[in-house]
Amino acid sequence: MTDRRGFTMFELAIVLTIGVILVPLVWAWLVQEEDQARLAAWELEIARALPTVSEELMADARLGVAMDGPSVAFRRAACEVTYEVQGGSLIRTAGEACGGTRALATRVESFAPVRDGVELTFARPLRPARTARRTVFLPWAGR
Amino acid sequence: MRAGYSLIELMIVVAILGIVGALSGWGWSQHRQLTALEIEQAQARILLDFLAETASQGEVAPAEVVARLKAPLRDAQVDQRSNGALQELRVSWTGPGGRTHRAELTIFGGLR
Repeated sequence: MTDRRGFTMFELAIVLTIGVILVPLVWAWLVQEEDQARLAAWELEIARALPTVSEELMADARLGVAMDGPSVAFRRAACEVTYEVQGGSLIRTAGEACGGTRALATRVESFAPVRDGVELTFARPLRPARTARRTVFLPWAGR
Repeated sequence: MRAGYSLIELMIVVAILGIVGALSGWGWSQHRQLTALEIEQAQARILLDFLAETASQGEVAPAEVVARLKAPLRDAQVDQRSNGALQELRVSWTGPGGRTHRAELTIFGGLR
């Protein structure tokens, strides 16, 4: 038996080479999984916000008349109701008689009227220069 | 004196790591599928609410709007049934993982 201690230069070179190959691969995989985890949490937020926004919108369309214009608004007997995106949140603004003002959803990029409803676009920044977007069509059966 | 580990010991450690890795990967993919399903269920709910809303106003839901609401749901089928004073609305679709999912809404009053 030889009285060998430590590693040879060749063994160290092999270990370092494997490390240099593996570390960037694992790093890239971790970054990707982190983004996927953020996306999953964001999708849950969307799933929970959608029923609220849809119900409010349908109720306002049922009780009021849609107003023409670039934003989504309804004229009801007692007040006007408007939907606007402020600071990334979808805000429903109305007098107390019409349910008051409240935030309905967060991470909202746009809330644009289209034929027979609105398109609600959520946006989630993931990395610099990369943003995930999800657009949902919300109908109304208003007059 | 014995130094280091035997091959069988190393194999056991690697096998345990493999099992833990496979289980966590499976759990993560299940979580992603459930998340995707939550959004689909919310969209199915919007479709059902819209059908109920138009019915309560005595109108027929416009086909193009229904088609647009069905679009995010794979192979979506809408079924409307009358049961006396009750109306049953049902939407079924193929969810993530290929399973069929269903959402239902029962309303009072007639569908026209």
